[in-house]
Amino acid sequence: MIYQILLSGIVLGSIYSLFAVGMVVLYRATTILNFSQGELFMLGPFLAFTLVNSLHVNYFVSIVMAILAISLLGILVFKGAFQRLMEAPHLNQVLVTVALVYVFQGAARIIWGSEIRFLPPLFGYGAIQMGNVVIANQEIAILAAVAIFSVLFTWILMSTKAGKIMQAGSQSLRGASLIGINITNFQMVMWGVSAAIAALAGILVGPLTSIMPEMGAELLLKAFAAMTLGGFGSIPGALIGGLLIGVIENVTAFYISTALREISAFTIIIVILLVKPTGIVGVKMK
Amino acid sequence: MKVLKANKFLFVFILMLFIPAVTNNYTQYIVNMILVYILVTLGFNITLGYTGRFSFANASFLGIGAYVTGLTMVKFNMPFYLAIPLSGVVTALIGLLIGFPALRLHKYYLAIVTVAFTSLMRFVYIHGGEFTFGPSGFDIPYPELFGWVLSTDKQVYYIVLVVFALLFSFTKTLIQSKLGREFVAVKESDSGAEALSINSKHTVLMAFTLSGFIVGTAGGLFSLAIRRITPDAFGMHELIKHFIMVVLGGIGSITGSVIGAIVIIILPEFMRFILDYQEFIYGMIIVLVVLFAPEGVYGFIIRYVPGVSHEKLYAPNTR
Repeated sequence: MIYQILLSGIVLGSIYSLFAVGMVVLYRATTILNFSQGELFMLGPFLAFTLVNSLHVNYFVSIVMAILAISLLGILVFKGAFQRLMEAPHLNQVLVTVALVYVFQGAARIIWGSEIRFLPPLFGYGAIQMGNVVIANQEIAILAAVAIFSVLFTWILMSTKAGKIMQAGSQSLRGASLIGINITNFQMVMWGVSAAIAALAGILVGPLTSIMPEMGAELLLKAFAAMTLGGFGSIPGALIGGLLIGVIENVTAFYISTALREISAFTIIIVILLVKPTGIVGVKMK
Repeated sequence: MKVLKANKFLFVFILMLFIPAVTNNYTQYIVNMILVYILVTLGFNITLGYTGRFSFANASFLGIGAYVTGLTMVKFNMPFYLAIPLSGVVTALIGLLIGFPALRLHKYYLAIVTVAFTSLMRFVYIHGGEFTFGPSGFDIPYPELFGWVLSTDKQVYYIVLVVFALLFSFTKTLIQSKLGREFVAVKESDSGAEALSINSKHTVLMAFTLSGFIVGTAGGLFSLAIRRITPDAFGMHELIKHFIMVVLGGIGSITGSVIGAIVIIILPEFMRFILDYQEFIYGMIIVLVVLFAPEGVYGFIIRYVPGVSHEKLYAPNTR
């Protein structure tokens, strides 16, 4: 039984990881903590749902289209709001991201209504049994996608010119602009990248849970917990933290109480900040 | 001059005594809510506007205040005139508790911890079992004064009005006092304030405690005015409402708090026919105000309407 619990914890955790990485990428590039990341995560599967069910586009094509569309939405958010707020106090930036939660959730309710919808799994509803552990096709797809994403993203970050620009910009915006990087364009692209990651996470988890306008709000707190546990602003930290949160939640639910599962993330946030605010990876917040 | 100012307050207060003469039950309820939310916005402004801390715990302050008043009235038959001050005191202690992490934590960390705290309180209300009446909440009994049951909105109004008048003048005095100036000094720079021999830790703790006291007391009034409280009433949706009130009126301004609360309580009454769009519109209001009028309506009025003078302490920019 414990293996089954650990497995579903890891599947859930990998979604938290992916989502948290999206937040960290943006935070590192713009020093903005995006409270509306959960809504980008929610809009991804909704768009895919509409493309598949109403416009009868091929499922895989519609996933790619939805991710691109949300990425574009991220860029629009930057162009429309955050480009003007680049020099603004942090409070104003945070307020706008909080407000966008309501803009996007409200928009989703206007367009799709409040009823729960389902996205079909990527490779059918089947499951594989290994010993006494059962793993659904969609869970395998999630693990594979997150693993591929992590490897690919690390490779881009470490070995390509675009990755080097990302690293430079994330270390010091002023330094990056001194060596000829266009900060405005850099931040715009990072909004797109971060939004795309959020949409990908939403589309992967959509078939497992269900899709509804509130689905992102809960995930935001899990991502906060993952970032805090792993080390705020660190990409490996977010990956490790996310996996751990997923596992801890499932273990708590099984061995202690299902009610406590809801608050394990908040408890972790509060304990970590009081005991070791730098988290596992140990980065100091600027 | 001072006498004249005090008289102005008294004059407004006396005028407000006669508001029930021109309202019906429905509009009276809205007036009650406006007074409650002016206090909520003022209390929020102390931590967010004047002291510049990313405290997102304001909705839970309101909730704690409401629950303390409601539960002590239901469970212990406590009279409202003891329950409401108790709400203030309990929430002030909670505020102090939130103040300690606020001393050490970077702004985003504080935002995260206080958001987590908001969710934690919701969990406590839902899983408090018999004691908190669980997820469906509970009805608040009518307040009684010397055996006289105050059952209508107009009667409750006088409770709200008295507490409002006391707390409003308290807050106004506080913000213009030495401590109020220290809040702004600490916001501008912790170390700068220390250099002026201000104990910044003490100042931040005071800000959180007093904010808790004001918002908690308002929470007590809130429970009397609304008559039924549920765990979901004090979550992120409530918080965003507080945010809009603060931002729309003008961050770090008393007049702004009043304007913000009035507009945001009255606005939905005119938007009933587009109820589905309310959330979207609220969100857009904040975005547009922050982008194009970051100092809020009051800041806009000062800037563009001739003859309107600044409040003595005006603190729009937050780090």
